Amino acid sequence: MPDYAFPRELLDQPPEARLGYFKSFTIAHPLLKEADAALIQAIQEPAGWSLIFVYGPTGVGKTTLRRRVEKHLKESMMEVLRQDPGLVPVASMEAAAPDSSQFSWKDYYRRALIALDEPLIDRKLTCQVRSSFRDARDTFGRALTDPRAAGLEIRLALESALIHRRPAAFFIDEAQHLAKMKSGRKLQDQLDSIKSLASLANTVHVLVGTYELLPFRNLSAQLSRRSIDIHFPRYRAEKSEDYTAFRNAVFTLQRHLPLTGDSDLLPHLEYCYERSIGCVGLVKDWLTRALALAMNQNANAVNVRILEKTAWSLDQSERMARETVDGESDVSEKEEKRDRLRHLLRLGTTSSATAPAAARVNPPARHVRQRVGQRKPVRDLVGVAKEA
Amino acid sequence: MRNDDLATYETWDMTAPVIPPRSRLFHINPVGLGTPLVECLTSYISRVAQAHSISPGALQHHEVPKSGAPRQNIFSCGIKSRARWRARSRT
Repeated sequence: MPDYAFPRELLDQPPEARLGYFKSFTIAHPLLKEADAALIQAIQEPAGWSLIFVYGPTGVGKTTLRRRVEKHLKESMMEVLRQDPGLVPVASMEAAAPDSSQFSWKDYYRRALIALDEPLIDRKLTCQVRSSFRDARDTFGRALTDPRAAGLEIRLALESALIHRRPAAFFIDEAQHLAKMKSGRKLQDQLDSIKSLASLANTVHVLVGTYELLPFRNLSAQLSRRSIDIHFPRYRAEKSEDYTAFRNAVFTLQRHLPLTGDSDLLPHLEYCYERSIGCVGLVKDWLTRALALAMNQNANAVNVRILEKTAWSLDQSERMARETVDGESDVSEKEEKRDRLRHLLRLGTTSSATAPAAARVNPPARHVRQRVGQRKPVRDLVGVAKEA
Repeated sequence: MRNDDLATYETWDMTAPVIPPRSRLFHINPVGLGTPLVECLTSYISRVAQAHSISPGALQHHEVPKSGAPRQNIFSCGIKSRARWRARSRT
């Protein structure tokens, strides 16, 4: 008699209901709890507006984290919400991947306004039009300012909405899409738009995304002062406590598989780790597909054959692992970075091996582009070449 | 593999809490509320419209519910409506 972690009556229900149950539950694994506590702490910090960057590998549970924090904020603000119906506790939107190579701000503002339940988004006007009521016209009678052109009016409307609705946090999911643009516009301009929105409306903005978000951090001194980084990592096999936690997470998940038999995945734990690169969210997606297949085949448990059929291919897993490892190496706080900072502040290096540190301090020589026709600064041979 | 130190993690309920319905428009306090110099309705509607970056007419047309009275933009002061007013006052 296997011990079920799910309600017994679920076994009599149709497959859709069982699949729905498995999809909807969330396990509180240690890294998720840690990130959750860090994010709530960062949002409730009384230091005014800030930008919070939450980054982690794909499928680690970032969206789950966002939903959890939203729920927490709503619950904690319940009393205030009852008194002031004009307040919106929290708003969240997903930054859309642009159709072209450039990120569309107009689309962003529209989606943000929809997230704030703003009425009449199509009828926003710029303030000039509103103040002069009839806009300026040139000698041919054509309007000089088109009241519904540009993205300005919708941006002003968003600022106004954030000011009046006062959300505790504004979440931007998939924020790595903000980095997608043509070469013309700099990365910093992109983030400055968000930053000025956050500062004008005095609202905490939380940017949630994959490691592609990393170039956004620390673009300028002011942004560094105002931004908080939260790293939501995967479980690393090389750390024993991480691996144990991963095993426990898989164990918890398998006990919640609403099947009559007992699915034992622990003998295949390494295989699970290999294909899910240590992300619990990916394991759960995988098991959801495995569960659907098992119910389709009338199997009473998820066995290794079903697992193999629903696993990601080696290529897919390798791709995910490569991006993740690259991201992790960017994040890690290295001694090298500290030395560089101390050198900048004329503090002297910390590490005992001073000489190699000093060598590392020098940034790689910048490639100076030479102008066409300009010669390299070298000495020319003078005189007449002697005939030997 | 030792199975004796296996632990299961708690599950989180992720259903969103039910919050009281939010107002459709911003909460803006009328100027001089509670005094004889309280701001008039048209002024208030204009300010709400400005906060929403829409014209007062659009706000009235789309957001103020229809009543039994004939639908008319209270912000319009065109010749047409004035003519109608004159015609009405003559009778």
